[in-house]
This record gives sequence, structure tokens and C-alpha cells, in this order.
Amino acid sequence: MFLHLLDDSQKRAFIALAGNMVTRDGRADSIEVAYLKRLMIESGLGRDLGDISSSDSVEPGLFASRAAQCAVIAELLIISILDGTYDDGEAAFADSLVDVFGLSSSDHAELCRIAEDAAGALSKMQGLVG
Amino acid sequence: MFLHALSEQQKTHFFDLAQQMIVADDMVAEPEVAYLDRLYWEAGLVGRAGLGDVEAAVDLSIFDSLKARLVVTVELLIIAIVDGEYHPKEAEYANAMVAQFGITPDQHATLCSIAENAAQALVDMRNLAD
Repeated sequence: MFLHLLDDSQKRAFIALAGNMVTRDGRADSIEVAYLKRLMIESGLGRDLGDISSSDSVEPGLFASRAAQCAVIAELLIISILDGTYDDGEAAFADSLVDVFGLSSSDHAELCRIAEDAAGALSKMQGLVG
Repeated sequence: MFLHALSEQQKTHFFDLAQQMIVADDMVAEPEVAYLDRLYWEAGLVGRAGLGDVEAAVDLSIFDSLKARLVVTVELLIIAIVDGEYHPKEAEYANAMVAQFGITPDQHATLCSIAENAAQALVDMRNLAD
């Protein structure tokens, strides 16, 4: 939903983080995988989920701008809550990246609200159109 | 946000409708244009988008599935409210589309709720990331 705020190298790095978030709770729910696939298509990185590498760390400085940092965290939070649960492992991963980016707790709270609104829209749309 | 569900031809026709929605209230608000730009990016049409005649009738028969009609309607609703206002002329335009698409009152209410969630997330992200 917010990948237009990233450049190509940031998109590739983000998809690796997203691949990690999808399996963070020990299972890959279909709605999370479907959203990840959509993000790949939006990023111009193809449709083959087998191409995704998984990473739990970011190269310092790659996401230097505030817009890029916010986009990454928001998208990861959306992925993590799309299945209706926010697992401890997912929360720990998101928290660690918030720390790496140096975002404030109020920024984090706002990003959680954004993710909840976005995930709500995505879930309701999926319920309507299948 | 949901354009991945449309065919290439449907996307082209959707953008004709989107341009009509943007001028429906006789004002072109910056957030509306920003969201339209984001949709062009999502559709892979950045730099290739045509400027349609906003007075010309759009052939709606191209939207030949309920899914496509729901996606078009929700995206038009997001455009209408992303500037924080739902002008009576925008509502009139949206209601006309809903009627022509045969969307039920229940579906319409759900689409409005989805659009509100999505628009809120977009506005909050813009405020946070800027």
C-alpha cells in the first residue's frame, strides 16, 4: 500500500523483511501470503514467492528517509495483523526494526493505527470479493 | 489499492472514471491528485497515462464482473474522501455508479467503510512521513 515511497533497492530489501515477517509466527496464512504476492507485483519483482529471500536485519542507512522507514514498518505491521492476530514473534521483529530506524514510540503507535486501518480495509475487501 | 484485480483494459477505463470523480465537485484537491498518482504507479501506468475527456461517457460494460465493479467503486470512493471531504456532487457521482453497477445497499455500505479505512490510513501516513 505504501511501497511507492521506496526506491528499487529498498523494495528488494523490504520484500526480504516481509518474507521473514510472513513466517515469523511459524505459519504462513493465506491472506498474508496473498498480500505479500501483491506487494511483489506492485514492486515489479515478479509473482514467484520462491524468489523471496528472508532476512531479519537491514543494512544501516539503506532506509535513510523517514518516509521509507515509515513505509517499511507500516507494511510489515499490515502483514503481521492481516490474519487477525499479532504474534509475539511478529511484534518482536517489528519492535526491533522500529529501534533500528530510531522511530519514536508515538511514531510506532501511529504506524500501528495506520496498519490497523489498512488491514481493516484489505480484510473487508477480501470478505466482499473473495 | 485494489487495482490488481482489474485487467489492463479495465484499468484504462477506471482512470477515465477516476478523472471524472476528481472533478465532480469542481475542485481538484491535492490529496486526490496524489492518490491518483499512486494508483497510476500501482497500475504500472506512470508516464503512460492518457488524459481522458472528463465529459465523455465511459463504457461501463468493460467491468463485466461483480469483483471489478466493486473494486472500481471502492477506489472512486477513496478518491472522493481522501481530501477529508465528501462533497454532495462526489456522492451523487458515486451513487450513480453504484446504481449503474447494480451494487446493493449492503455492499455499498461495506465499500464506504473500506474506503474510510483506506483513506484514513493514506492520510495518516502522509502526515507521518512528510
